[in-house]
Amino acid sequence: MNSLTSLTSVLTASFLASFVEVVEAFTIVLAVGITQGWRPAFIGTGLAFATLALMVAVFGPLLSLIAIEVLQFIVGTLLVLFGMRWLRKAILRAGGHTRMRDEEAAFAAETDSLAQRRDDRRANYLAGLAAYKAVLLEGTEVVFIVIAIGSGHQMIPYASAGALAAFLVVLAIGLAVHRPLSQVPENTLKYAVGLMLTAFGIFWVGEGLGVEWPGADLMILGILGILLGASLGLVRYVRSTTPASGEPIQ
Amino acid sequence: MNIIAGIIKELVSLFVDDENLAIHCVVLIAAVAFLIALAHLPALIGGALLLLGCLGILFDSVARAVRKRR
Repeated sequence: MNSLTSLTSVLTASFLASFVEVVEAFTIVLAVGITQGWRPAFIGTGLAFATLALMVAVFGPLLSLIAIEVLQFIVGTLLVLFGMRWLRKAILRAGGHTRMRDEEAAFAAETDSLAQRRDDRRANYLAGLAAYKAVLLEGTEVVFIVIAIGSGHQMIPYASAGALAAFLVVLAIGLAVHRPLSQVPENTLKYAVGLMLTAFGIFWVGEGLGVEWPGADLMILGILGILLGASLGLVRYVRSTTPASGEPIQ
Repeated sequence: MNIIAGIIKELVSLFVDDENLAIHCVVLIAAVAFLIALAHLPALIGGALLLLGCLGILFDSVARAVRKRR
């Protein structure tokens, strides 16, 4: 059933999750472009997109061969693993236990690393490889999110639209500012996405096992609300145990 | 080959960061599936167990991280 709740949830989760991934990839590609030149940055990015397209072309049709309940169960399990991982990290960061991700620092580290290899005769190759790996890894997460969120109720086109919108928004902002997007509230976004993906995952695993959730798709919001309440309590707990003068760990 | 191995390692780490978290989640889901499919537990109760189990795993993982720091 493609209810308004499902549609809104899918679009929102796909957009936010993809936004975070595209920002991280953008930081690396920007570092490569500024340090070594735009040719290796674009070649690495282009090759990564080609690899991703090949992966989707090869593995995508296999999804239609799998029974929907089995697909929901497998995809739901992967979503629970993925979402719980993000949620745990976001809780620890929000509670001050772990350092927040710093796009400026990531950008500086990458540019330093590339600058040190500038005299290497393989400098262009290494720079292009850095761009390729970043776009491939972050792109794989986006592809997984689109397929995972969209495949349960045949909403892959909508999930893809959310991901594409995120890509275009980051590209537009990035072209305008020519800097790492350090003002993006990354941990807040990852917290929200972790909640959504975990809620989707629990919902899909349940559907795959034959659970008839009360309220059907609306139950995703119910699960989300319970996870939100519990996670906010955990953030308070982490804050209460973090010494005021303590440095967050990496 | 090192590049491919590195990429595969990073792809695995998308799903497995804290090994205990991942293992507990997989065991929970397998247990709920077993209870529903073979022990004839009502599916809705299984769903509730799944949600509560995930909350328990999250609490445990965060608490362990905090205790490790101390």
